[in-house]
Parts: sequence; structure tokens; C-alpha cells
Amino acid sequence: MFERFTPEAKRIVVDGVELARRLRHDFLGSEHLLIALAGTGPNVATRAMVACGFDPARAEEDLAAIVPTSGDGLSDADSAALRSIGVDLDEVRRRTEASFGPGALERRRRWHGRRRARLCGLPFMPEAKKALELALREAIRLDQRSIGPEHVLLGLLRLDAASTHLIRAQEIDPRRLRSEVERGLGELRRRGA
Amino acid sequence: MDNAVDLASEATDADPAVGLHAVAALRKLLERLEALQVDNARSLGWSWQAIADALHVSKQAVHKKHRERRLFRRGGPL
Repeated sequence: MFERFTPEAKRIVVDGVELARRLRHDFLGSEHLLIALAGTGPNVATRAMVACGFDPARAEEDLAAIVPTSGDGLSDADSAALRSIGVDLDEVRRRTEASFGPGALERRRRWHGRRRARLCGLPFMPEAKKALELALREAIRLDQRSIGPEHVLLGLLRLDAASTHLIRAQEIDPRRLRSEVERGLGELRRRGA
Repeated sequence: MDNAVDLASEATDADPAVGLHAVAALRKLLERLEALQVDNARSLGWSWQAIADALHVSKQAVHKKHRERRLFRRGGPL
């Protein structure tokens, strides 16, 4: 999948995995790719992000607030604390599972049953994979041989996913960001010609 | 011996560290149950308005919280 990625575009994926691990998320999503992308460059993609006022530090904060770390399940210590006020977590779990099936009280119950593609050991979300496929399609559309950060950004912007949610949260219209990238690519072409 | 253990645990109940931990754990449990119930209601075709009414919160509040959670696939049982 990554044969045609430029070294910089490959770094987005590696840095995205690193970011996900740092936030203690146990998967790689479009949101991690977006924030990692903002840390590359300067290139056409990052210049467009700066021009639109995208703040990656804020996006990371928003993300950390929305998605709790993977390790924050109800622990044995929580169970003991609940018992001290008369709540029997085992009983709550038993009743929820009776209604909703095994693992109903645990977060990510869908994760366990399914096989997922992995990247550097992290499950790769279908939308993140989709973004990279769209990046390839953008490169082909633009008649470019390799996939760079700008194509990854265009791919991410085609999704209605966590990545675009973080962009909109900063009152940035993904379409505006898209046209900034196109403009930057046009300038690059003119200079090259 | 058992009495001594009971006595010790009762004595710690007034300890803020224990009480606050219980509150935090209860909040975690509440978030899980809310996510589970909201997802179930949605899959049964409940409108956001009906869910909001049942939870005694505004439709905007419940929609924002759970749409975001579902979009990011986490923050509660998926």
C-alpha cells in the first residue's frame, strides 16, 4: 500500500501511530493522521492548514478530551470503591450482560470479535485506510506519480469522519482547506513549468 | 478477625480519598451505562428528542455528546 508514498507521507503514518500511543488510544484513526500531518513540512498541506488557521495543538487537546485513554476501564480499585458505597459492580455487569450480551459494560466490545488490519501493531481504522486510498486516488487525479502529504490531506478531507470533525471544531470549512491545497498545488505546478 | 476487617473498612468510609474514588468510579459507570442505553435506543429507532426527554436533558446536549462519541467510535461501549 505504501510503495508510492513519499518519505514525508510515510512519516505521517508513523507519527500518527506514535501520537495514538502517546494518547493511549489503541487504534489508528483519521484524527491521528490529521494531527501527525500538521507536524510535517513545511509543505503544501501544512501551508494550507496554517492559512486556514488550523491549530494542531488545539486539535490534540480536543481529541484527548473527546476520546478517553484506553486504560480507563473500570478497574478492581473502582470496583472496591463502588462497593464501599453499596454498588455491586459485578451485579451491574451481570444484569447488563443479560440484556445486551457479553462484554456490554466494557468499552470496545466490538474490537475483540473482529479481525482488523494492523499498522505498527495498532489496529487500523477502516476510515484511516480509506483516507490513504483516497490519497492515492487524488494523486492519480492530479497526475502525480508519488503520494505526498498534500494527497493525504485531500484524502482526509474527503471523509466525513473524526478528522473533519476536528477541523470543523476550529470553525474551519473543510472545503476551504481543500481549495487552499489545490491553490498551493497550482502554484507549485506553475513554478515548475 | 472478620470484625476487625469490617471495622477498618467502615472507618475508611469517611476518608475523602475513598469517597471521592467512589464518586469517580460511579461517574465512569454512569457514562458507560448512558452510552450503552443511548446506542440501544438509537438502534431501536428512538429519536434524539425522545432520548433527551428520557434523560431529562436537552436534545442539543445529548446529540452533541453522543454523535461525537459515535463519530470517534469510543468514549463508551461501541
